[in-house]
Amino acid sequence: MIKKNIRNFCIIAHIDHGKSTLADRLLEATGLIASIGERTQFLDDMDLERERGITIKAHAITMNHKAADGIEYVLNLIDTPGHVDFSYEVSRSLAACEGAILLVDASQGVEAQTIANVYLALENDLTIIPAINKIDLVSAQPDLVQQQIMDLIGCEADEVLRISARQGIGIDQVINAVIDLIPPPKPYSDKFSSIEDEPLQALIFDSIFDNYRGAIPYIKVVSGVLKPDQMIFFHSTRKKYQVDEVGLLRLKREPQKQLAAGEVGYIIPGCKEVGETRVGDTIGDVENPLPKPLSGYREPKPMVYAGLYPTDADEYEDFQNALAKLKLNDASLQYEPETSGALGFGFRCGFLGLLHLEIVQERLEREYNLDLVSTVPNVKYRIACTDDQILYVDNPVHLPSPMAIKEVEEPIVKAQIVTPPEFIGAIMQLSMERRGIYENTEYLDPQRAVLHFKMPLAEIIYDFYDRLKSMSRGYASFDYEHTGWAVTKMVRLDILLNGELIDALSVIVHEDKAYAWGRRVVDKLAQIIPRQMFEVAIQAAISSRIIARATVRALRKNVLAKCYGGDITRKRKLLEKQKEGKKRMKMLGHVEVPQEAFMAILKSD
Amino acid sequence: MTKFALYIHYPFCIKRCNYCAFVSSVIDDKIANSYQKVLLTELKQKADEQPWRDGKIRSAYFGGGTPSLMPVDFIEILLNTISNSFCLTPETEITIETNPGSDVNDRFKEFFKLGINRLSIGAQSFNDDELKLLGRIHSTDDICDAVQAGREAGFENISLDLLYGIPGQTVNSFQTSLQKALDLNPTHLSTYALSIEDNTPFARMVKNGSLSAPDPDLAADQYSMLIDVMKNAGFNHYELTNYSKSGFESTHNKTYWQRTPYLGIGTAAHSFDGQKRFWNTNSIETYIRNLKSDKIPLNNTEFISPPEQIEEQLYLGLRTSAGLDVDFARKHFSKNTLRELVLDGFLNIQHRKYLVPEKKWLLLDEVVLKILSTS
Repeated sequence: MIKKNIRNFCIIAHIDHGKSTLADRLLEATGLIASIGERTQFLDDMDLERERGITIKAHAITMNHKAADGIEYVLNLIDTPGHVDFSYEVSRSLAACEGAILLVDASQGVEAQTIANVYLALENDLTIIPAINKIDLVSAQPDLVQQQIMDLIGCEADEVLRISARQGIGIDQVINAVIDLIPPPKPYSDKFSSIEDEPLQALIFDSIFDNYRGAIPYIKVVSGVLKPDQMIFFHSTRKKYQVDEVGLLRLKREPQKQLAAGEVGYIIPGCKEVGETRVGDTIGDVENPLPKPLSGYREPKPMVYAGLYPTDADEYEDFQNALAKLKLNDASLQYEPETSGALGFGFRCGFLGLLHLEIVQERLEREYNLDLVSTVPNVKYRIACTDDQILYVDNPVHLPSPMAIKEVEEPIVKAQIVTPPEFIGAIMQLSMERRGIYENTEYLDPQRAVLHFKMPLAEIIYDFYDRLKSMSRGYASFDYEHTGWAVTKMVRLDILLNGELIDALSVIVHEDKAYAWGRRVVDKLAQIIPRQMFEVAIQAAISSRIIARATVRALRKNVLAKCYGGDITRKRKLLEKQKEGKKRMKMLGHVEVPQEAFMAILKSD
Repeated sequence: MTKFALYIHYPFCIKRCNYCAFVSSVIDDKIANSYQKVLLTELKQKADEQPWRDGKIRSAYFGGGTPSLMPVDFIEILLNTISNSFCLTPETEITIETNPGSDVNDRFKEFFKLGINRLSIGAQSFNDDELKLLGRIHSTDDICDAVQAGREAGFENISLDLLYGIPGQTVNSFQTSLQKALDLNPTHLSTYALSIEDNTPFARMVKNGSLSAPDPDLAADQYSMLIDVMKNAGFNHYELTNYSKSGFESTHNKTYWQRTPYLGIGTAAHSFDGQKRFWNTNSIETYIRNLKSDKIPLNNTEFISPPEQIEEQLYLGLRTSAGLDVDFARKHFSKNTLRELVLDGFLNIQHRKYLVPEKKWLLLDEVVLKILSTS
């Protein structure tokens, strides 16, 4: 029989609502870590996560807790990412849980993303434990937030916990609620008298790569038992492996004799090849296979595409290997080789969103010590050609000529924005600027409105979230889901440097916005491109019609003339420094362009 | 027998200028006395060492600071020590730098008698407002007095230093200065675009906004006027920053660009023995202390690797009107880049030498970086 003392749960919370601090408190209360005075945040172990204050990757940790009833419970906390781009990763984590703590900041209230994740949790039949955090803050409005939560999940007032993770208030209540309210994992079938007889099914909800042990999937065993030496296979690849090791995830990996149905842990399949342990995949037993994988798994669909190129062509192979390794624990990352006249050999990469792109690029640069350039991201367009062919285009260079296009369709999302009412006007305006179609407004409470729009995805991948945050002083939050396609009028806008088309700077842009985009990019490049030996003409063009132009005047003086009494060394050092500076430049055509130019084009002013 | 250039540094001035980043300080008689003593000690040390020992001196140069502040009898001792230690002929170019307004014009006669045959005068500008801004202690008239005193003392070979790119200076005001300089009939002119060096009063003034940073385009306009005027005045532009009447190119100056050996004595002085470069401590105090206890005042040594030697030949060669050997360049650098630079007008070929055209000389570093980045 499945163990009754297991509780698999996650924490649903908006950024900065205190998820990591609560996680630390749980680790502390269950004795896994020593007392924590200040915040340490054990679950976010990547620098990047801590810096951005978000959890990028789902992790898991097993805690033991002896409850008042004398039973020792196994509490598996499965961490979930907290950003709109990572809804797929959230879905995998939720699929491994039976319950979720819904954590809401007592002064911030329910945010858009929290709503989206709560719906996802309810769809997965998860038991939800609502908790209001940070009740110790002066600005806390627990009654108001309690009402929001009650409206959201339809619970009673007395079911909502009031805690302060930072102060350690109410942590025991949380643990008791997890034990009392969240059900143990569901049994697979009552046909089998023993778990040992059940066919094995294990869900991979995360996967990391260890340089010595290879791929290490984090799993929840749904049925049957997983043991060392067992022959297993992955459903999506049908590849077979003999298990090296299984175990629990505590502060370190702790090997076990087996993992049985309901348990959460890791498996080392001895899989040295990167890219074969796919997140969301199901592990089966070769001897006793089930024909179908577990449901609830969605193929991750990239929504945003961009070309990534190593600055140094010699780093291409390193880049390829790094992408393969990153792909191992980021199932949503897709890539294929592409070549650019301007940037050389690189990869067209598909991302969940712009933040995902930035994180992938930063991780590649930091963890794999690469220097990369990214092209302007775009969505995928569906093109009906005059010859009745249907094309999907994720790279501006591949957009057919206007003559060959019958119709262009772009992906549309349903966006929900939660905001205090005073920002509604500004948000309406922003959304209209972004070609949004307003649908309706609901009120969570008098202080909190939910605006619904239909918007082109292309309009929100560029800078929408940052703008929304800054115009609402950080109060508005935002989430979206894909609804389908809509006919649109898009054109390809090219950038020319001294008459030479720079393919890496081409974009697909809405006809009505082409001029503004061209003007902005041309002016920005004129600021960023340093003066060089020649005058540089920067032009924006639509099908060879120039719509904007700027000039960088030729450099006239660059020489270290003065020589201090034979101090040639100083001269050489200064020259070396200049050489290093030049290395950070990309030769586009005959023009030296700083790498920052690409990133600067992505950012608004 | 090694042929080499000898440089002697005297790091004292009556006042430090606002733009100056050379190693120098305001003169203090006691420290200056100690310095003079140990200068001789170092000279004797080096005279005993290879490769300088029994070497032949191509040129000697007293630089600073203001070396003309050194007492005449001390200069005599220095020169005697030099000629006793090394081979020195009456034809050897011996230069001393002087700054107008230092009240030393009456020593010029004796300098000349001691065998010094070239006077380098730090004029910098012939505009009194500019001189004041630069923190110079002299006026335009003081420059004329110094030149006249030099002539009367017997100096035929007189060089003037001029700055351009001075804040507030225009093409016209620089041309006026330049014309006044030429009116004094110098045989040689060194001109530098002012650069703001770290840890100078100018650097602080630029930082706090009381001085505007030099405009490189204005400097380029001034340079453009400068080369035209100098050509008309009959000067050879024999090195990026140096102009001379025929036969008056500075032997000492050329040493640095030709990668021939030079020996530097004094604080912060640099030496090159053909393979390695080494230089003395910047600190006058350390310099004196080390030599008093018979230690060498070395700060650092740098061995020049073969690829670095080739790079040096490139950027030093292109500084001069002698240029860079075409076969050498094509052997070590990208032929395509060199060809492109010729086609684009950044290099000329004359007598099997690559030369940077005079009009493009201010872009020398760009040309060099271009060549280095593709080889």
